[in-house]
Amino acid sequence: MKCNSAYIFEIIQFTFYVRIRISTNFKEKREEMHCKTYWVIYLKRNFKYLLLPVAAASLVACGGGGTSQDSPVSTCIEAGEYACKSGETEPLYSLQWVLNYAKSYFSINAEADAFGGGIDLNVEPVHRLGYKGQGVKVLVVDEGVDIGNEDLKPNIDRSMSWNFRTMTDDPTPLQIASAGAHGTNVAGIIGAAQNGKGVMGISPLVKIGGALWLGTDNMNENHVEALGGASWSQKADIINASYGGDLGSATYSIESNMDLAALRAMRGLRNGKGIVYVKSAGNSFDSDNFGYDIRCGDLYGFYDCINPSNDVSTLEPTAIVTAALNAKGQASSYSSAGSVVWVTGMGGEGGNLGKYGEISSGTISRGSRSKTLTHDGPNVYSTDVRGCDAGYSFKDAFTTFLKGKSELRPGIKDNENCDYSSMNGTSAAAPTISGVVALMLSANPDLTWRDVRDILRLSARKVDMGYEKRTRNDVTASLKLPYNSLFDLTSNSFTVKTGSKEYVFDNSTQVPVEFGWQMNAAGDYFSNWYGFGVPDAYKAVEIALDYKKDPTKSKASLQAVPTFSQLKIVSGFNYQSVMKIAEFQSKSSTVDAFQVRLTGENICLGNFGVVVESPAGTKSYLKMPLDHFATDDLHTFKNFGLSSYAFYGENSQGTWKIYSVASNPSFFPDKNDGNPQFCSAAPATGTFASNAKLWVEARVIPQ
Amino acid sequence: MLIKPLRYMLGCLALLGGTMAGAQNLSSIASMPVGQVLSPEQLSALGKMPSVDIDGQTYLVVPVQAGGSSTTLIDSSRRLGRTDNQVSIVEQPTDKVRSQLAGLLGRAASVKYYDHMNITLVRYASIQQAVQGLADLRAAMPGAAIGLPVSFSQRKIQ
Repeated sequence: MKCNSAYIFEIIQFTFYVRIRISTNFKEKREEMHCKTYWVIYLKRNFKYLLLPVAAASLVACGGGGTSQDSPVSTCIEAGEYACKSGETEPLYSLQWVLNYAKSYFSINAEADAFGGGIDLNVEPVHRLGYKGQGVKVLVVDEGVDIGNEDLKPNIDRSMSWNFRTMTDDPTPLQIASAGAHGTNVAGIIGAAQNGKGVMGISPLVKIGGALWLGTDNMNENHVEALGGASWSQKADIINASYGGDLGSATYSIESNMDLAALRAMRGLRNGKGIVYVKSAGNSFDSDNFGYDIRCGDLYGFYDCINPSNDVSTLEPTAIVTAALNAKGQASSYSSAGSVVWVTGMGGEGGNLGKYGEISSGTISRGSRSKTLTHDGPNVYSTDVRGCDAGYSFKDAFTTFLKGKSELRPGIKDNENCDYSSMNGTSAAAPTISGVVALMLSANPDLTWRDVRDILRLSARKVDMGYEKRTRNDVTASLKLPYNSLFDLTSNSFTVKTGSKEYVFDNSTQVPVEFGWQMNAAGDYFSNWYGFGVPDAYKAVEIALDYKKDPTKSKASLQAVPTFSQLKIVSGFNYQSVMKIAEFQSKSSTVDAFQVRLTGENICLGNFGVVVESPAGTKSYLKMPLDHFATDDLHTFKNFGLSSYAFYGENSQGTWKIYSVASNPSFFPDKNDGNPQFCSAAPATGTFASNAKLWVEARVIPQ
Repeated sequence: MLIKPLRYMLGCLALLGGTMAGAQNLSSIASMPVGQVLSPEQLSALGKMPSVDIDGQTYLVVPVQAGGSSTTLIDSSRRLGRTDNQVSIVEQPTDKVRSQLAGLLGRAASVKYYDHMNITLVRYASIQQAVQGLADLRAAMPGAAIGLPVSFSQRKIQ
C-alpha cells in the first residue's frame, strides 16, 4: 500500500472526530504549529491509549513498523519519485536489518542463534518525514571508494575526493579480490542512493567524498590534509574514520601528534560549527584473533586487552568513538571496549555462513585452511567495489550472496555483478552513526559538532542491560564465568565470585573488570562496552529540530581544553593490589571528560589498570589491569593518556581519586605457548617496586 | 707467499658479508610495521647505530633507506617507530610563524602552512636536521606547541 501521510492523518482525524472532543488548547497549538508532526506528538502525550494503535496500524499498512518507534506522521519535505519512502524501494533492502530489523529477511530466515532480540537505528520514520541527508556532505577517509558503483555514483562529489596514491580526485581503490572494498562499503552504509537498485544508505541523499589515504606514503601529513587541511576536505560536514592504530603507547600532547592538532582545528571549520568526526573504536576485544602477536592469556574473551584509547585521537572529545552491536542486540564479539566509547552503531558478526549470514554454526574453508564457527550472525550490507574479481564479493567468497549466486526472488540473481557486499567491524558501525548524523544535519544544518555529540547521547538507548552478569557464548569465545567475576590481582586469574565497583578500594586484591551500565550523578547511563548506547535516529532528528526551534540549546563549537595539572610523583609502586595513587581537587564545572596522563620509569605499564572515582562517587575503568603492554614488557613511557566519559554532566567540584589496579608483574600467562612471561621491571621479591616512578597528571575537560 | 693476501681477502669477504647481512637486517627492520617490538637478538644483530634525543627520550636511528622520506627509530623498549622528519607547529597563526621564524624555516626541506587550522609542518632532509630544527624553532618561539611526532602505531582499517 502506498504510504501517504495525508491518508494516515485522515485516519487519526476521523478517529478523534468520532471519539474525542478536541480541546481548545489543542486547537490553539495546532494553529500555532501548522505541523502534522506536532499533532501526533501532542496526541500521543494526551491520548496514548487511543493514538498508538491507530498510528501503528496505519504505519504497518504503509510499509513501516518493525522496531521503529514513535513513527511520526508529517508533511513530507521531499519531492520526487522516492519522496518520503524508505528502503522498500530497493531490491536488497530486506537484507538491511540495520535499517529494518523486524521486517528483514533474517527475522524469518535466520537461525535463532544468529538473529533475534536486536534493534535497528529507527531510521524509517525519518525517511518518511523526507529527511535523507539532503545538503549534507560526508567524507569517507579510508582506502578509497569506488565512485563508479551504480548505488554510489549519484551521490559522489569528486570535488570532495582525493587519491593520495595517484594524486587525482578519483579515489577508486585497486581491484583486488577479497580486499580494497572497505571504503566502498563504508560509503554505501552512509549514503547508497535510493534509486531502485541494490541497497539504501541511511542517508541516501547525502553527498559522498572519498579519500584513498590508508596505506599511502606520508600518512601523517596527508592525514592533516584529509581532516580539513586541504580545500577538498574542508567541504565536509562529517568525516568518517573507520580506522585507527591502538597498539602503541603514544604521547598525548598536541605537539607530538598531528592527528590531535587536526582534530582540535576541525572545531573551527564548517563555518565555525566544526566538522563532525565519527571514529571506529576498534575490533580488538578478541585480540588473540587479530594476528598482532597480542596475547591476553587466560583473560582472553573476558575483556579488551587493547584499550581503544591507545589511539590518542580517541582521547579528543572531537572524536565520536563508536562501538559495534550485533543482530542479537549485544556487543559484537570483536567490539573494542573502553571509557572513550561514546555511542554504539551496528556492526553485526561475521556473516560468513549460509546464503546471507543467516546461519550461526558451520565451517568455512578456503584452499587448505578451514575454520569452524559458532554463534555467527549477519553483518552489514552495503556497496562493493564492482566486479566479481574485486572487493568483498568475489567468486571464492564464503556466502552465496558474496559469490554473486543468491536469489531473494526466484530466478533473479541478487548480486550477479558482485557490486554489493557486506562488512562487519566497528568499521561498519561508525558509518551507521555517520549516516544518522547526516539525517540530523539535514534536519538542522546549524548544529555544532558538540550539539551532534550531545544529541546522539540524548537519543541513545541502553542495550543489553545487565550484560556484566551474563556469561559469554558468542562467535569466538565461550566462557564459564560472568564478566563481572572478580579478578585476583595476585594470581592473575578470575575467581568464581562476582563483584561490583564497590570492590575497588585501597588495598583490595580482588576486583571486577567490568562494571556494566553505571548511572552517574547527572543521571546518565554509561558503559565501557556501549558508551551512552545506541542512537535512535528518529529521536535524534526530533531533538535536532528542537534545537532549530530553540537555538539557545546549542553549544559553542570551540571548547576550552585546560592543561594537565601535575598531581603527584609516585616513588615506589605496589603491585598485586589496588592503590590510590593520586587525588585531584577540581573547581566547579560541568564535566565533559576526565583525563589522566601518566609518565613512568621502571614501572610495568601492562600490569596496572586505572580507575577514577569522581567526587560524586562514580567509578570508571580507564585502563585494564593486565593489557597487551604486558607482552611488550613496556616499562618506560611518557605522557600516556587516558580518558573517560562516564562522568559526563556531573559537577566536577571536589576530590577526584585515581587508583592503580595492579596485577602480578611476575606472572603473565601466555596462551600461545603456555610459557609464563615476566615484566623485567618487576620487583625481584615481594610486591613493592622501590625503583619505580610514576608521574600522575589529570584534568577535567568541562562542557 | 700467498697466505697473507689470502687472509686479507678472506677478511675482506667476511667484512663484506657482515656488512651485507647488517644491511639486509636494516632493510628488513625498516620495512617492518611500526609498533613492532624487536627481540634482543634482532636488536643486537643490527650492530651499532646512531641515536637522537627527542623530548628526553633516546632513540636509535635505523639508517635511512634509499628513496625514503621517513626515518625508522627504535625506542628504549626496542619498539619500532617512524617519523617523517617533520616538525609540527600547532595552534599558532601561520602568519605569526612566517614572520617570527622566517630565518629558521629557510633551513627546512619544505614548509607547509595550513592557515585555516593554525598548523605549520616543517620537513627536514634528515632526522638529525629535524632534531636540530625542533630545538631552534622552540627557542625562537618559546611556549608554542612545537614537536617532532614519532608514530608507534600503524593506522589500519578497523
